[in-house]
Amino acid sequence: MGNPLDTGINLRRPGGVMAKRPLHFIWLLDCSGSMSLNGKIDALNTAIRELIPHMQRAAAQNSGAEVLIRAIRFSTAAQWHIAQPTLLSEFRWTDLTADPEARTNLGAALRLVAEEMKMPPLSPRSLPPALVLISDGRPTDDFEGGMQYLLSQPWGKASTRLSIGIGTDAHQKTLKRFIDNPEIHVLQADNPEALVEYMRFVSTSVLSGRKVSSVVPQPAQTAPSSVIW
Amino acid sequence: METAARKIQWQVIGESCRGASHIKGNLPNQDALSFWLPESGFGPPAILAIADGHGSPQHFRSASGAKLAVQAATSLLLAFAKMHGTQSDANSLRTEVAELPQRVVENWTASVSAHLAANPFREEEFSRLQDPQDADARAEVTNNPLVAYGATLLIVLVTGYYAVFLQIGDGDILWVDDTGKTVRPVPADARLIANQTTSLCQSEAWKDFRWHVEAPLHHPPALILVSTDGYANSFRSDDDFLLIGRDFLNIARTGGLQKVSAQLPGILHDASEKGSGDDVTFGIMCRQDAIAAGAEGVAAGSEEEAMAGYVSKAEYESLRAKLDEHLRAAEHRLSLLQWLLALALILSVISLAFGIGARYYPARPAAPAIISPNTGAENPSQAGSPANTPPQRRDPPQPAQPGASPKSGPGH
Repeated sequence: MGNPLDTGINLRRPGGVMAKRPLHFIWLLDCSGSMSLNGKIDALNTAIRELIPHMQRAAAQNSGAEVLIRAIRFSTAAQWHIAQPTLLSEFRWTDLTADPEARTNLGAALRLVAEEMKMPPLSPRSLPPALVLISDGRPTDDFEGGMQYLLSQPWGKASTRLSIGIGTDAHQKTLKRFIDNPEIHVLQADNPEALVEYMRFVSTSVLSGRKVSSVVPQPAQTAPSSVIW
Repeated sequence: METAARKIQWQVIGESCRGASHIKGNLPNQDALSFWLPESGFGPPAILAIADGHGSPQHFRSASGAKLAVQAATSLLLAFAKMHGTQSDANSLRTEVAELPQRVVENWTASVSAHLAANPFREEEFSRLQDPQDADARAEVTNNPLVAYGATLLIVLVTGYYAVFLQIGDGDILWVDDTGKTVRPVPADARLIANQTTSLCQSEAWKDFRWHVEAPLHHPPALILVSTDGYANSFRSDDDFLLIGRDFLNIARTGGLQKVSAQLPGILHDASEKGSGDDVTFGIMCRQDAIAAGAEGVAAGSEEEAMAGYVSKAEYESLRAKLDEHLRAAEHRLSLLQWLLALALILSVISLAFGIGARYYPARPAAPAIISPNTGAENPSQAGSPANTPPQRRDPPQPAQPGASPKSGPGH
């Protein structure tokens, strides 16, 4: 039986339209040549697909927030993979591909996301945006310039930035600089299971409104991985 | 110089609502509200103070900090009004008001120190600061105990001659004129984004106060609205939020301030639930003649929207309880009717099996079809249909009437 109040009573309030506070969650995803090796890009696509229900559950705990997802892919160029802020309930993942010849122009990706960290387009009532960088290598362009530009934007500086390195070639110094917060550690994924676990950890921590812990979660030990990056 | 403002009267109402996310997270309401009026219940002077205790774990006594802040502010502003109540020279007033932030901070600091001396920190209060990454926050409290009490503060004083507005941190003070036009008298602070705010607990906090003096008060506002940031953050945009000025003025004009006061808990609870999830505290300082009968109307078209659709939380819950009661009664009646219908069907089948129906109603053309073994076996439900029963003598159970259905139950 439906709730009779759903259709029976017109409860009006002073003021205009009410809304929960937007929480922008943006993936910055490495699609450089090295990501085409050892199934890394496939593992990344799989991980994001598996994440969606976890993210939805975490967001449900954050009663004052409306989570909006976007994604940037960067290789020789940086571009929006999901340009429109998308509600979690409507979020569908289209697989990324990696060009074997492509470079790692992370600086361009930071400049691209920095444009969205201005006010407007972001509103002063937004919650701090979450930027999650996933990369397996070293930037090949002006990373520091992009970083400075990002931090010079009001919401860029105020954003929560997290990073996950894939494999032993991931450049820790870059990933740490991206976070720019000594309390938060870089997560290092050396196999597909760890990647899934870390991506789940960072996304659910941010979306549920909890403080992001520096304690690194242990990857699930369900089955020994056949792939080591 | 005596102004027209001196003759008018002010009333103050307010309400504080524990946030939806605070309820979920088992956190207290960390906001506080205080106001002062003369014994007559009407200002001037009228004083309203609202504070928002910070939510981060290191501010574990922020609810107390907020209470102490509004108490300190109210008593200080009352003393200020007594000393400078008839002052209307803007320059002189600004000189005096410029001193207020430091005195507010000093009074709050003294109150907090006294509270801490009487209630030293207990180890369990640090329970939310146990993780390794909380070491800095824990050290921050140890080095500066005021941090545990951190809060914002918004203060309004209206006398017969002037109005003073002071604010540290986020939250909103709105000036609503007689047409419903709503503006902020206090300058904005661009640093207040991403849940970051200036605070009473910071070093030299008085430097972060923003303030405004309106003197002389030739054109006093109809309403002055003061709220913690949980209210503005519940709206899609700032323009949507500012519409509350027009709307509260409408409600006050059509239903009086008491009606507004009765509705406030429901309105604020609803805002937190549908919006920010944060504590919402809201005060209204109201110019009596601006809402009296015959007061000038607000923006065209908006008056007709006022009142009729508003219900308070208490009214809402009472109505909901009544509707649920109606539904339960309707369900009970429906269940009874279903049993009667089933009983009638069984009796009809038994009657048909013994050929009683054919003997009693030989002239009816439909009867032979009903007693036909094939028809009866294949479609037994027809046996009890109204067409086969004299309505005058044996009314079969009727289908549930519209008034008894769950769907239309609430209408009764």
